[in-house]
Amino acid sequence: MLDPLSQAEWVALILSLQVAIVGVLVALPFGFAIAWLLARVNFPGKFLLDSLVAMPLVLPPVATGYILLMTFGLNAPLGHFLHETFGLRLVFDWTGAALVAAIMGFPLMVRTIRLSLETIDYGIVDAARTLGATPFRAFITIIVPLSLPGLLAGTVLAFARALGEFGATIAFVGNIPGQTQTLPLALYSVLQSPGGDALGYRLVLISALLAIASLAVAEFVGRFLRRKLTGSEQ
Amino acid sequence: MKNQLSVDITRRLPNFELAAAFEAESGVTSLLGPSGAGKSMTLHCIAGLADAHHGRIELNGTPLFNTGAHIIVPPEKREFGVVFQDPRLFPHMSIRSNLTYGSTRAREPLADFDEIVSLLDIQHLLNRRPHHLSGGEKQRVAIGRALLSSPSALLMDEPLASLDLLRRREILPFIERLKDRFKLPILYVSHNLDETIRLADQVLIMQAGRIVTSGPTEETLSRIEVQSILFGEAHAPEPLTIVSGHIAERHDMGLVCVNTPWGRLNTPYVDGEVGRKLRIRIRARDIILSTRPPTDLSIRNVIEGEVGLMTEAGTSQVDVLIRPNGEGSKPALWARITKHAATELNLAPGKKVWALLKAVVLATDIDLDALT
Repeated sequence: MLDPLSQAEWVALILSLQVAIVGVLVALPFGFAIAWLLARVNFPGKFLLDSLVAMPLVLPPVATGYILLMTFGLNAPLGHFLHETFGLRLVFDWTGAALVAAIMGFPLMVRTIRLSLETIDYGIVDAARTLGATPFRAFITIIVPLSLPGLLAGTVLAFARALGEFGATIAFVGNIPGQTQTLPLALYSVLQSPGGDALGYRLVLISALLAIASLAVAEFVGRFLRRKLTGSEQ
Repeated sequence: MKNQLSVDITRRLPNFELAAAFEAESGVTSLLGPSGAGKSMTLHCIAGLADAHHGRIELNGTPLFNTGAHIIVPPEKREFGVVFQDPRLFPHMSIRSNLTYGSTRAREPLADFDEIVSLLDIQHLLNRRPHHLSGGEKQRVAIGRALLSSPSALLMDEPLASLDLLRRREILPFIERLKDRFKLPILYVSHNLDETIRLADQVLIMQAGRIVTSGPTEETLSRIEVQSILFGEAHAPEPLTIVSGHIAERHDMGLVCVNTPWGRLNTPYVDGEVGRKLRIRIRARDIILSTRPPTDLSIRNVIEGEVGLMTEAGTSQVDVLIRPNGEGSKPALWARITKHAATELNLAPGKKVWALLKAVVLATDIDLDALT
């Protein structure tokens, strides 16, 4: 059989997708909730929350990985608790890599969803209320559909960011083939080995194709949604 | 059951205090006042979209808000149909879905879907999206959506303010129709005198957060102090008289004869069947006074009456109140003439005068915005 990818490359590709998808899906409800808080609620310490959410974007990724290691390591209280109670061991495990993916994509996700929530005309939510809609029904029938394009864009951005994640991942979960070795980490390993630079281009190509494919899907679905939502031609 | 909205609320903001108390029954009650008077805020408090700080709101005897009894009914349970200044349609839904959004309420509908849709003439829009509709069409859909939520009262917050003159003329007849068709209290916030003259059964005049006066439309709006609130003192307001009547007959050449409490008035062409009620606005400066019955003039309207009070208007003019039906005339007619003329004619309270009005200066319903 003519297989364009080697066994190791397949493993890294599938692991990358798994880590990024799980990470983004876990982040999504939190991302939406925090975006909602930042966009619609005034509370003391809002600036603090805003800065905290942006942290992974500005902190060196290795530092983020180090902080995670200090928090979720088996010797740390929280890591110890999670392992003892739920048998959840994040360190040196793909679940840890997914957590890193969630955290590193989080600022982009929150920012994008927040922007889309801020462009909604909340006068129409008032209108829905006077028509008999409870806050919950108004949320489900008005706010969720109208923020869908932003939700999608935020998810794709976070997904793309997660696919490229390197520093925090290697610091927190290491570089174990089949366990935590995602595409960027595999590329790093290849480049470290003698004569590897000749093989590296294949992994770069896969990464690039993956990124382009996800952006293209986002663009396509986004256009479709916008047309669905407003009935406009653009 | 008597349809009645009863309001007595206060709301304090850093630079503004709202203290509104009034009752509104079936028919159109216009809440009129300069911008910033608190009209919209009052409406939002009634709808439950803004919080009043104190007081009570009752609709048909049911308390919706009562600080004494700790009652705050959320907006979705208040049974108001609200029409806002902007249409606020749901952009992601078809017109049909917009219209039926509120009809999940388990209440007896005002009228069935088809009737309301044809009343507002929006049948052809049902499968479109709000995006493709004109401003006037959107506002008609917004009105239909409010009606289809089976409201016990309608709250309209300057529903025509965001529309241009032509669109306003397009929508006004629809609002008139629903006023005749549904016996609901309609609270109509406006700062446009013409809309109010055309639609309102009674008016509430609001200034700086308070209802300063209220009463039947013609009588209240013909009062000088009300006019200075609406137009502002700075403009040295010219008094305005509003008289209502019914179309009595149509002459050839377009002249329409209207029966009023003063007798028959002739106006240029207006829409409507014989018997239709309409209101006529008369500007004080358009009136000529004579102390003898006039003859041989092109004038179509002569109103006989006696001079009531006279008030100075600036240095050179005087406003004369003429009572066509003697003392207690409702309404009385304001005329503005020069002091010079008043002196020459020896005008004084009690003197008999003839007020001359060219038919073409009588503004009726169709001349929206002729004055404001």
